[in-house]
Amino acid sequence: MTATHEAPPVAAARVDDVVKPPPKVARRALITAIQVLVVGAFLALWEVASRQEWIDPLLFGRPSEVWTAFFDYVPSEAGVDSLKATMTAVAMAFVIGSVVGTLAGLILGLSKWADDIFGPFLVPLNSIPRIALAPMFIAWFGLTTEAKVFLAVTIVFFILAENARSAVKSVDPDLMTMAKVVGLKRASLLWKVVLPSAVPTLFAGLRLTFTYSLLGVIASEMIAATSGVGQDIVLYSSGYQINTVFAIIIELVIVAVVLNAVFQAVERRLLRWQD
Amino acid sequence: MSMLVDSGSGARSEVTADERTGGDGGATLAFTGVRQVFAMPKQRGSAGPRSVVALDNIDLEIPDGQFVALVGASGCGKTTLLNMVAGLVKPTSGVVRVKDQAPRVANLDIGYMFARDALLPWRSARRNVELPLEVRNWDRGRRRERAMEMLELVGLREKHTQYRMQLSQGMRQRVALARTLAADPSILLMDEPFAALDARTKLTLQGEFLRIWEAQAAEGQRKTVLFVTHDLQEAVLLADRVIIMLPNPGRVAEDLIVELPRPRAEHLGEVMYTPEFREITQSLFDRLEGAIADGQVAGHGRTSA
Repeated sequence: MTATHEAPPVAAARVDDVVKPPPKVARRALITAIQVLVVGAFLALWEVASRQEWIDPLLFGRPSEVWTAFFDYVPSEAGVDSLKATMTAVAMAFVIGSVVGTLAGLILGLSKWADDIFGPFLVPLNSIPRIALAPMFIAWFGLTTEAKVFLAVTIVFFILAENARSAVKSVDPDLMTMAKVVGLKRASLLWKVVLPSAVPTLFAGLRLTFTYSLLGVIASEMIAATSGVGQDIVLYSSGYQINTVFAIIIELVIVAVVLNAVFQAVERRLLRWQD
Repeated sequence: MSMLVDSGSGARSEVTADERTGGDGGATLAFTGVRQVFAMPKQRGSAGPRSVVALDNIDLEIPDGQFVALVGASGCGKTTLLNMVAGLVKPTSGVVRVKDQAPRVANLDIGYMFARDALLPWRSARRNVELPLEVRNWDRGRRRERAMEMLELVGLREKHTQYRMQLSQGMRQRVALARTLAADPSILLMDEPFAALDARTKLTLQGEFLRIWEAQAAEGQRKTVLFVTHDLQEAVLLADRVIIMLPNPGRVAEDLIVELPRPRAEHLGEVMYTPEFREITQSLFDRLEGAIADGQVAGHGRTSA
């Protein structure tokens, strides 16, 4: 043996020595500025066009009056009651649709028998324009919350069923082999490997669920209901109170954005192992 | 050639396990007349469904406590052999015995380590190592203690809370190694466990694995190892016995005992540069080349059925 015992030379540079990119603060600020500018310009154009009567103010409204209408409608008793009625139905549809849809999808994904028998029905059923069924549901349930919830659930169910089904079918085969060799079986395989690896996909589906619950409930309310934001939209539209209609839409967008943010926070917490 | 001895348990011959490398000489793993045919997807223009003979005529006996390396190009059925021991693949014909029993999935006596780490990404390093212990119904405290011990053994004690994404490739394989060893299985199936690592990390992990194995061997708990690799040097460095396999059809070409002294783990870097090591790898290399040359003449294993 001479002086050659040492292991062969390896690259000296380490991965964490990589130069960090320059701060992106300036770029970020510029983007925000441009965004504000674009929205501002649009609103200004709208306002001017409406005041100059280039467009009919009765049909297209006017930003300044939307602003006023927003603070007239949203905090009013009628506005609060409508939002409550709508969001109650959305929450119910969200919970029922998510739970039932996910369970159905899991069963389809886990049982080949169930999938072979019921799987082929998913796509045709999901292609039915559900809103067309709303009058029927209203006939069944009357002008009730149940009617709204039912319509929304028929939309949401299929999204989550398909989602959950593909989530459990696409578990990393390496993990499955490992789990089997380690000795996991049935229930423990499901709880320790299949379900946790489906969680990211399930979450992606859940976020859609909220949007579609809202859509289903509002659509049902617009067709017939005794209360709810959808009813208000129809009411104010037919009364040519376009500014209030815009105000309601803005309210819904705010609700959606807030809930989406909450959702993301929960998701990030639950899926912190992903990054 | 003094350092290489035919193991004698090759094709159709009497088994005489080397005393120093074979423990008590009882066969832990036995393959008799094993043949494996895989159906291939039917291709356009071909007459009927094709099939490929992945393994043909495999007769092997692996005594208790022997460290066996299976070497060969991809497609020669090495992994299929491991999967048969693990009960994941049933041979088309022939018999596989694991401790005189038919192989079965979830055999708690077997630890299986893969080239890819197969860590559960939502579990911390420690909870990954605990997985096989959960199957064995260890209570929480004992699991935790054992997992920490195992992580310590692979030098990752302080990383026990980290998730897979936070660990380097080398660390992931260490965790996988800790998980494989955690429940103290007596048979280890290793499928190119260090193949995806860079040279330096690879040598470190080889050393760590061998140190753990040799330490347990010294305490009289010598685990039987079936180690698949395409790296001849790795095979000679780690194993007691090197089995060289050829593809089309997958078959045993050479079966040799490596007579390098143990323990080797503490000075793997030095072992690699000893004349003995070079002599052995050189001669194995020649045999492998020779076998490949012969194989090209003799074996056109693709069969149509």
